[in-house]
Amino acid sequence: MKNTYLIAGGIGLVVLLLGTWVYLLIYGTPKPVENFFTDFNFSNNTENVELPQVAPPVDPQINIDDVAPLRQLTTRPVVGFGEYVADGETTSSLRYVEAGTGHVYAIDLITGNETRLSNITIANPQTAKFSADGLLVAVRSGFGTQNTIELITLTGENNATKETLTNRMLDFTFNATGNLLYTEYNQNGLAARSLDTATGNNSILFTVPFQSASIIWDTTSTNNHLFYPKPSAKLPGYLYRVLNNVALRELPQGNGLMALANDNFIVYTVTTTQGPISYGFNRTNTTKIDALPIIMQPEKCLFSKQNANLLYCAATDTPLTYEFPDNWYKGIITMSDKIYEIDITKGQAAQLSNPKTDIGREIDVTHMTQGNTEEVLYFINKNDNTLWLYEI
Amino acid sequence: MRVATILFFLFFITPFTQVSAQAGSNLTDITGENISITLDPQYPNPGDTVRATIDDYALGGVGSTITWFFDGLSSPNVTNNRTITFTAPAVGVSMEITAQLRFADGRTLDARRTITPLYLDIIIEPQTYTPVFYKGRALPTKGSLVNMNALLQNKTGIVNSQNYSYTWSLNNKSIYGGARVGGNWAQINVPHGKSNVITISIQDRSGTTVARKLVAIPTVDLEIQFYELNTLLGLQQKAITGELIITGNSSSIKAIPYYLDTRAVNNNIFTQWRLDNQVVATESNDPFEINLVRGISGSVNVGFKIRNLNELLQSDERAFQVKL
Repeated sequence: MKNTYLIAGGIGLVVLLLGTWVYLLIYGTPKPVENFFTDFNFSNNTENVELPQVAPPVDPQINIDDVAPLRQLTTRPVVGFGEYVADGETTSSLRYVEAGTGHVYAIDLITGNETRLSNITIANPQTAKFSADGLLVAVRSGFGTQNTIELITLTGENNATKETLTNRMLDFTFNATGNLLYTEYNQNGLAARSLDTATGNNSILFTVPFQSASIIWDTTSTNNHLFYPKPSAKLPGYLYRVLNNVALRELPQGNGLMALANDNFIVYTVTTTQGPISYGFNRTNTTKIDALPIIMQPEKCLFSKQNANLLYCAATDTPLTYEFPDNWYKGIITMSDKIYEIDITKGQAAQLSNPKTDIGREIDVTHMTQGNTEEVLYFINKNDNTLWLYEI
Repeated sequence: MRVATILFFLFFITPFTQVSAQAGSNLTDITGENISITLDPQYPNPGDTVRATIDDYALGGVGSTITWFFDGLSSPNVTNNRTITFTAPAVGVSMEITAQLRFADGRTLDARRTITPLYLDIIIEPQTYTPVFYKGRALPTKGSLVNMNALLQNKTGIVNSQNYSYTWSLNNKSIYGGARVGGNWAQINVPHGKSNVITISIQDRSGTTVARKLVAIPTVDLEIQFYELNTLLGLQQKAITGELIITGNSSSIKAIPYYLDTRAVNNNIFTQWRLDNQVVATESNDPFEINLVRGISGSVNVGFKIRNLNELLQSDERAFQVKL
C-alpha cells in the first residue's frame, strides 16, 4: 500500500475523531431530567454521600403583643405593601401582596389579625403598588418581555376584581389622587404618563430621552420627579429633575449614580474605584455637602415628611466594593443593615436599631417606606421577602 | 544618507532655532502668536473644577508679573501663578478669564478665554439582556450593540439636536465618517478589548465647537446567575452563589444570562443543563429553567452552560451544589 493512502487514511481518522469529540463537547447526550434527578445516579455510592441535616421549614412565630420597635409583620414573602386608613377609622392598617400567589391580605396593626382580601391568583408576581386609599393594587407578573400589569380592585374580604392593563408599563406607582403613574417605551426613550384608573383617561407627564432609566416618582406633586440612567458601577449616570414637564439637569453625576431628593436637598451615591460614597447637595444654596456617614440607596432610604433635613436609611457597616450596586441588585451580596436617622446638614447619623443585636436577625432592607404618621418605617427583608416594621 | 540628514537637523538646525527664540525680546517678532490660556478640561461642565494655565513659553516672559481676571475683576490671591483652578459657572452662564502679563518695561499683554459651560451627557445603553426585576443597567459584551445618546443641555433644558453637528469616534476612528447634523444618537458594535473609548465633539451652526467629551465603555463577560423559583414563595432575590438546600419536594431554578446580546435571547443560542456533569434535557419550554424533584437525599452538582452561536466569546458556564 502506498504511503499516501496510509497518510490520507490517518488524517481522515483524526478528523473523524476530532469531529466526534467536538460534537460531544457541544451537544452531549440529553436525557429527560426527571429520569435523572429523581435518582441522582449515585448507584452504589448512596451510603457514602453526606446527608445534610435539614430541619423541616417552620414559619417564624410572630408575637403580636411584641412591643419592640422592630417587628416582623408577616411570615409570608411579600412583593408589595401599602398603609392606609379606612373611611371612618382612625388607625392605620396595612395591605400586602403575597409573593408566589399574588393574593392580597390586610393586617390590623393593633390586633395583628390578618384578612385575605383577594384570592385571585397571579402567577409569578414581581412587584406590587397600592393606591393611597388601599382599594387598588397594581401587580406586575411574569419575568420576560411579556410581563403584564394586573389591576386589582379590593372591595372586601375575598372580594376582588381583576383587570389586565393593556399598557406596556415599565415602572409604575400610584400618586396621592389615585392615578397610576407609569413609564412606557416611545420612539426616543420613555414616556411617563398618568392613568386615571376610574375613567381610563391617560395623559403624558414628561419624556425621558433614553430607555434604561430609573424613575423616582413624586407622588404628591408634578415638579419633583427625578430620573437617571439605571445605575451601574461601570457606567456614568446623570441626574435630571422634571420641572413643568421639562427635564433639567441637576449637578450630581458619576458612575453608579443613585439619588433621592426633597425640595431642599438631593442625596446621591456614586461608585469610585475604592467603592461607593454618598453626598448631599443643598438645592437652596446650590452647595455640595460633605460625604454622608452612610451609603445611601433609594431602596433603603427616604426623607422625613416632617423635617426636610432628616433622612431615614438602612445601611451596612461592611465596606462595599467597586462592583456596587450591580452585585446587590443581582443578589450576589447581601447586607446586614442597621437603621439610621441622618441629619444631612450636620452630616451625622444616629443609629436607631441594629437588628442583628436587637433581635438576632440579619435584615437586608429594601422597599423602605414611611407610614402616614411618620411614626413607622415599613420595609421588606430581601433575605426572605418578609415584611417588617420599625417604630421611630 | 537619510540618517545623516536627520542628525544634521537635530544637532545643527534645531539649536539655532531655539537660541533665536530665547534671545528674542520683541513680543510680536518671535512666533507671530499671542499668549494663550489652556483649560483642563477644555470644555468643562457647569460646576466643574477647571485648571487654567497661561501658555507664554514662546515669549520667555521671565520677570513679568501675571494677573488673573474673572469677568474683568482681578483675583489678587493668584497673582503670578502660572496655573490656577476655579469653578466653572452655572449652565449657560459665560465667564471671561483673562491672564495679563506685565513686563518689566511696563508693557502688558493679555490672554483671554471665555467659557460657557453646557452639560454634555453621554447616555450609554448596551443592548444586552437583564431580567425585568434587575434594577441595574445592562453592560456591553464583545460583539453586542451599544446605543449612545448625547444630551447637550443649556439653561432651558436639552437642546434641539438639529441645531448642532455631532462627530462620534470610537477608539479615535470616526464612526460615521464625519460630523452629522442632528446626529446626537449613535450605535456601535463592541470590538475586542476590555475597554473602548468613545469621543464626541459638538459644533454649533457657525462651526464653533461648544462641547467635547470622552467616555470609556467597558466590555464585560456574559454572566450566569441562578435564582430559586418557588411556587409559594415566588422568585428569590438572592442569587444561588454556592449551595442550595431544598426543603420541599421540588424546586425550580432559573438561570439568568446577564449581558447576553439581546439579538440572541430568543434566537441562536445553545443552552445545556448538567447534573453531576451529565447532560439532561428539561421538560420546560423555557431553556433557562429546570425543575428539580426530590428523589433521594444527597447532593448533586447542577450546572448550566450557555453560548451565543453568533458570537462565541459570549458564553458562560456555572454550577452550584444542591442538597436535599
